[in-house]
Amino acid sequence: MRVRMLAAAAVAVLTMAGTASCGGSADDSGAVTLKLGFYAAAGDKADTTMRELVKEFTAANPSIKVQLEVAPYVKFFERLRTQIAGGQAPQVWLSDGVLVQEFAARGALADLTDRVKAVNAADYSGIELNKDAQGRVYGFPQGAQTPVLFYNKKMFAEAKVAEPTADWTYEDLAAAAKKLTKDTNGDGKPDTYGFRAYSPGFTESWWPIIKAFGGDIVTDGNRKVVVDSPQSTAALDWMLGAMGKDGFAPDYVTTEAMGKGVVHTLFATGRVAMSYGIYARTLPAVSAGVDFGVAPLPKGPAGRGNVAIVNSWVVSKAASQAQADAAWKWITFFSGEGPQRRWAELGEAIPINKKVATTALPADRGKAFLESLDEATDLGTNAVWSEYTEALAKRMNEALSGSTPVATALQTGQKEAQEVIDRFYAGQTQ
Amino acid sequence: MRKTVSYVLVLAGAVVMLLPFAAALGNSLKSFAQYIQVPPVWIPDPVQWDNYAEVWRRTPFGLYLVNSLVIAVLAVAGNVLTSAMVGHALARMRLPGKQTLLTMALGTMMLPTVITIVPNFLLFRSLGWLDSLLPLIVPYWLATPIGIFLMRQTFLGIPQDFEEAAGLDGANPWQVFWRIHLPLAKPALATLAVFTFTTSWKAVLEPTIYLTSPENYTLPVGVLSLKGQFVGNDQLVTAAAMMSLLPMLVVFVLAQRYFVRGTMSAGLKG
Repeated sequence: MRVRMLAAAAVAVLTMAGTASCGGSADDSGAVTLKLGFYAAAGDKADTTMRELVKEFTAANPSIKVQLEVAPYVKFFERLRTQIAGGQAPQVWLSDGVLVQEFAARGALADLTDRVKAVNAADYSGIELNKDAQGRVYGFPQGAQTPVLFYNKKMFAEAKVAEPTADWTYEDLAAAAKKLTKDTNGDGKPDTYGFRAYSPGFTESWWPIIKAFGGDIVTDGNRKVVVDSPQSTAALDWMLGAMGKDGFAPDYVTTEAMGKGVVHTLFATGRVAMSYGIYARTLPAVSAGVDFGVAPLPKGPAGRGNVAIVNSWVVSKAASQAQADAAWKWITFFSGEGPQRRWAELGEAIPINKKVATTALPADRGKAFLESLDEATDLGTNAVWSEYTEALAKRMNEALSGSTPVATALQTGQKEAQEVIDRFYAGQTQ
Repeated sequence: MRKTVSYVLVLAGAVVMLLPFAAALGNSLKSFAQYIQVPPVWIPDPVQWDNYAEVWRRTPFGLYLVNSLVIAVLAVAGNVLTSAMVGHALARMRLPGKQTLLTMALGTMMLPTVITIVPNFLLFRSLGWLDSLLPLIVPYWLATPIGIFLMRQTFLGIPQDFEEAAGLDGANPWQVFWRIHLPLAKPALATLAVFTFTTSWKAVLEPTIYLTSPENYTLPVGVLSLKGQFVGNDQLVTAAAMMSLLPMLVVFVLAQRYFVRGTMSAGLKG
């Protein structure tokens, strides 16, 4: 008797646990239901602002019902990959710019090329950077990131070093960084450094430096790896010098040990006076109360090497026509002046609405970011971006840690990254 | 003298084990600027008690706690009952191919969760269970390999005499299981309960994949939902993690006796 009661109770509780939490998505009124996914930390300003914007959007479009799916960045994409495999992805979601082509190449995204043709491309940044090798567009810009040179004003003033200008070269950067490197406790080792050269986030490290020195990473529609060049060697040698014989940047081990997410605390905590950083790096610097400025990246033999990541709204290929139309309505709403201005207030990304970008960014920082964005190339995005950059970064890190000669690392890195790309595109033409 | 040395060693070990906990506690009471300070400060100044309140303001933390408790309690009940039943059958009943069945069950332990997550996702989708607590509970009601193994080993260790005596008194196989063998397996059941509770309580991957509505989040998913992309909110994540530890500590303290005994006895009989 007791067993039967136990079993009955268990079944009842299991049923309750299931039904209590199953939200019904059917809508009898015929309205379009749109699942919208984006990444943000719970309760963060970005989370709150996005929810407010969605409310505004649904108020203006009563026939569209929006269901939000929010998760922090890493968890969002972890879940999304399974959802795509299981045919349960949101109909519209915010994608990291570097992942758009990965999703598109696996048939998960709707082609937005024709829809994008209907908008005035001159009003928005990043549309060109989002095109694939065939000129198709799978994502519409949401916000842009591009690295510039962050500098700590207080440390410059204390060291009596002139602040960076748009004319700075890599020699100027090195000269200033040496003066800013200090051994404050007299133990023979620097406690503050002039510059942060290496970062596990290569967008703010070796990628733009190689380009500035005249090298390149991928060409030919981002399908041919060309990193093994004398220019790349010169760039990595400069970085190794900064972390080694010139001693004005913390070495590989110190920086790597901090981890990708924490490396920017080197600047925010005043351990380095200068660092390359994307727009979002202003957030930790502001939170930590650093008095800082930004300047364009210094010029190398081939220019500044500006690159950009354009985070974008993408539409699921599995969305119905009505859902895709509703998703596009949301995208155009978000790209409008009002929402873009609200988003710019968060300080997370450069607005992609050019009109807003020229007025909404902080006066002392906006120019450097906008000029950098204008000159930027994409970050070598293709269908296997995550895999090939991982293969390449592994060898680059070996070179920058000194464990492998630069020439060997570049040669091996190029070969392995190319193999990844070839494996995916085998048999495909441009 | 030998006792003193032992105590000193144990104390030193305890300090080493408690150090990360103390560091986490300290970090949970820091501001962001203090959190990222290098070299790190051990004692927060000022102490940010508000980090704990901020977690509750930002998230329905109480709901996460309830969800985790519901899942963990039902998972424990299901796993303990069904694993005991399967383990008993494999240990004490005449069953053709039972060794093969055991090997197959144990073989599934070799498959990492990431391999099975997509097929499971598809299965739960077809059952309409996504974004509900069911995918995190029901599998425990189908017995788990570790539970089957643990209970089988335990039942193998019970002398045959009990079974024979019960048989002479007219007990059927179910009565032997329920009235004789199960009470004798209490330490192993408690061990399995603790294992199941901790596994369910700290699970991250499956709840992240299956649950999309914040009101269904479990504690670990809720804690991680505080993690920002650019400003990590690490002090808030740490505060939330400290709070989520408390129920686990309570369970462990209450069941510690069984936990240790069961672990020691699990591998005695092959």
